[in-house]
Order: sequence, then structure tokens, then C-alpha cells
Amino acid sequence: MSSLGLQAPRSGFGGLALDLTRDFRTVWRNGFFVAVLVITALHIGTLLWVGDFLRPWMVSMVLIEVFTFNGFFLAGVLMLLEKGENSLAALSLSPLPAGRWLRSRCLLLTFLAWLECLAVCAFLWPAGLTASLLSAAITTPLLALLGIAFTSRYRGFSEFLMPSVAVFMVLMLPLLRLAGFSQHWVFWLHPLTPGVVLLEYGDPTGVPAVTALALTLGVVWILLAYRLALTVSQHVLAWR
Amino acid sequence: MIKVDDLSYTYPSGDNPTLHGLSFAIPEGEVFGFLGPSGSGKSTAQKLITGQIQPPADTVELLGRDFTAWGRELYNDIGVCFELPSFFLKLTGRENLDYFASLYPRLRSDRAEVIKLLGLEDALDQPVAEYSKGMMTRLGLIRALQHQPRLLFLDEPTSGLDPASSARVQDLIRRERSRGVTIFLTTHDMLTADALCDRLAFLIHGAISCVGSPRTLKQENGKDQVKVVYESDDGAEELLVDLKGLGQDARFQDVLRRRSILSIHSQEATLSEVFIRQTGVALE
Repeated sequence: MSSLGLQAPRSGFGGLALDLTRDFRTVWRNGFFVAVLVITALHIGTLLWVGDFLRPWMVSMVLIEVFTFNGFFLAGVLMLLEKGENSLAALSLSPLPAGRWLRSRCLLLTFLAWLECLAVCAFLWPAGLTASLLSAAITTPLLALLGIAFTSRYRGFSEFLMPSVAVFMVLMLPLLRLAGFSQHWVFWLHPLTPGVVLLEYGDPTGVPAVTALALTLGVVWILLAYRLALTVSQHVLAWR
Repeated sequence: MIKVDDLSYTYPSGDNPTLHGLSFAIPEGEVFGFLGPSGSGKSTAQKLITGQIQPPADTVELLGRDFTAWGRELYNDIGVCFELPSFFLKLTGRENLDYFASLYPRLRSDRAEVIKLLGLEDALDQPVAEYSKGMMTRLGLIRALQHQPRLLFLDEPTSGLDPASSARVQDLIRRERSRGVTIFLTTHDMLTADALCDRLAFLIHGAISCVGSPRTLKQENGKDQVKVVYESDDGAEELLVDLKGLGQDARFQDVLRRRSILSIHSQEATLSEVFIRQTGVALE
């Protein structure tokens, strides 16, 4: 510590912890936690009015929607915020590797999704807690990485909004499985299907083979999305 | 320390090149000024040299190695002070400095002194969003310096500063130069450039029109004369005398002996006049 209380340089895991602290403060002080809290409370409130017959199905849909908001949209908005305040340019001219920035963002947003899972499941679906936590773990980082890759070309929220809605529609396609429209194998090619399937079965221990397949596929999709986000960071954000 | 060789650049969305064949070299410990009006390509050049835009291979060499051969470790030795604010605005000044310091392997031992010198010690716990432009400029300078870079890129470092703060920033830049730091200064402020730079390059329409030390440029583009203004019965009169043989000039001697002198100035050009003469364009 210097005489002004400034910290000494850190790297490795300590560095990632500092990245997370910075991200957490940014999210907290920009009011995103409050926004998430309000949205979660609204969802819980609405679902409490739904009948028992529809509730399990709707809870799964709401959780996927929540993961998408937390992952895809929040990652995009945070990035636009950093672009707007120019802090992203400052980071890209520091020794910080783009990968560490991406990992921190994914961890924070997944943590946020887990908090929402806890809240939703506590009120509406206690038996589905494990499935929803696992689903959040493979879905939120994937969506966050896709959100970063997608948003990197936009400079402002107004530019990003309309195209992002179109992407949102495509991302939601696996929900058709939940609605019973189709169980076709083609859905397994969609990156969100593993997360949806985990919610669909509800109890991961009851279907170990399906759970293992979904988790493996989910991790593969995360690695692919990580590669994509890294490439985009290098080429679009000039983060070598 | 910095070598730029035939650097040209056209933005992907543009039809015409923004930069045309820039070439210059900056040795260790030199303050090199890049002067030009808005839109002349100064910022693009700085972006290419610092890597905000990937420069073509074999056009930019930093610290003895081609830019494309460097990994992210290059930034351990580079400090960049942006003209526009570039902070996490909801974080305090201290949180911003701490976070960025955590990214580097070194931290200068006199950082607290630099913070005090720039007068920000009492504002460190304030969110950066509440800073004035001048405070952000000073915070940016501290951030650029806190990891002891060997290369410093400064974009309009006195922009938005009051004269006292501007003088302190200039002192700090001189101190860094005396420690051997190489400084690339982008500005359109002729006074700052004149006060700080060892050499200057004038950039106009993406090309360098001339390079030289401020003194040489002013002498080469001025008159080798002295103008004496002295009191007379009509108020004030001027006398122009050649610098060569000034001591023996009878009129000059006579004015010095018999008149009350109001001012004596050499007739070297100002940097603004040199810039206009060299480029045909005035800086705002």
C-alpha cells in the first residue's frame, strides 16, 4: 500500500478477483441489480397467479428468458456502456488479456443468474433448483459471450436494440420444445437446447445420460462462443 | 524507441486514405510533438502506433521490435493518456487507478507524489462521473504514468486545464523526459508544443509537411532581425535591426543610449506562423 492507500499490482487469480470486483461495482452502481431484482419479482408475482398445471412449463420459459436477459442483453448493455465511457479503449491498451475480461463478465452474469434461480425456485419450483442452476451455468456464459460478440459492432443502445430483438427471437426457438411443438433432433443443433433440456427434465439425477449430454454440449457451445468472442475482441475491438 | 516507416491507412468505410506514407523516428528520451488541425490524421496515427488500430506489418516499430511481433506485454511499457475521458465513470478515481494499477507488473514508488502534484488527492474518493474535464485529464495522466512506462502517448494533455494546472502538467512531462521516457505528444496547442517538444512534425491532410525542433523551425521561418519599440514624441516608434552586426549598428546603439525602450523582440516566427507557412492552414 502506498501512502494514499492504493493497491499493489496483482495478477493470476487475484487479478480475476479484481476484475470481478470492478464488474460487480459497475453493475451495482449503474442500477442493473435493481433492474434484475424488479424483473425477477415481477416474474415471480406473475407466475404465482398461474395455475399449477401451467406453472412448471412457464417457470422453465421464464428462467430461459431470465438467462437471456442476464446473459445476452446485460453483457451487450455493459459493453455499450464501456464503449460509451471509453473505458473499453483504455482496457484494450493495457496488458489485460481479452480472455480475462470475457471470463470475468461471464462469471459475474452467471452469479447473477444463480441468484435469480434461487429466488424463482424458492417461490415456485423448489424441486427444480439443481436443474435450473445447472442450466444457468451452461446458458448464461454462452449468452453473455454471444451478446459481446453481437454487440461489438454497435456504438449505441438504439442501434443495438432492434437487431438484438431479432436475435432474441432466434435464441428462443428451443422453447418450442417446452411448448410441445417439436422434439425433433434438429433442436439439438441450437446452442440453447442443452439448457432448455435440463429444465425440461427437471431432475438431473433421474436422467443421467441426458444430463451428461446436455452439460457436455453446453460446455462445447461455451468454448465455441468464447473463441468467437475472443476473435471479435481482437478484430472489432482491436484487443490483440 | 518509436520508428514509423511509410505508414498509410484507409478506414474500411472510407474511400480516401487518412494517412499517406508517414515516416519518422523518435529516439529514447525525446518529446516528439505531432501537430495538426482537427481531421488531419493525428488521432488515427496515434491509434495505429499504439495498436488501437492494427498497423500493417513493418510500418511501426516500438522498443526495437515490429509492432506485429509484440504480444500484450508491450503495454507494460506503454502509457496512454486519451484526450476524451476513458474511465469507469461510476467508480471513484481511486478505484479506477487501483484497478488499472493491478494490471501491470510495476508500480511507481512516487505515485502518491504525482497525485499530489496534480492536485487530485482530495478528489480520489469521488466518482469519476463527478469530475470536471480538467480533473479527468489529470487523472488520465496519473493512470498513464503510474506503471512507469518507457513510452508515453499523450493526446492533448493540457486540454481543459487552467493555467496553473497546465504548468504543473508541463513540469511533470519534463520530469518524465529527464528520466528517459520517450513521449509522443499529439496536440493542436502551439504553446504547449513549443514549451515541451524537442521536435515537432506538422501533419496536414494525413501527410507530414515538415519536421524539426521548435527553435529551428521558428528561426528558419522568421526574420533575422530585432524589433525595438521605444518612446518618442508621437508616443512609440519601432526600429528593425539585423541580428548580424547588431552590436555595431549605430541606430540601435543610439536608441539604446538616448531613448526609453518599451520592448525588444527578436523577429523569429511563432509556431503558428510556421505552421501556416508550411501547410497553408491555420490551427484553431
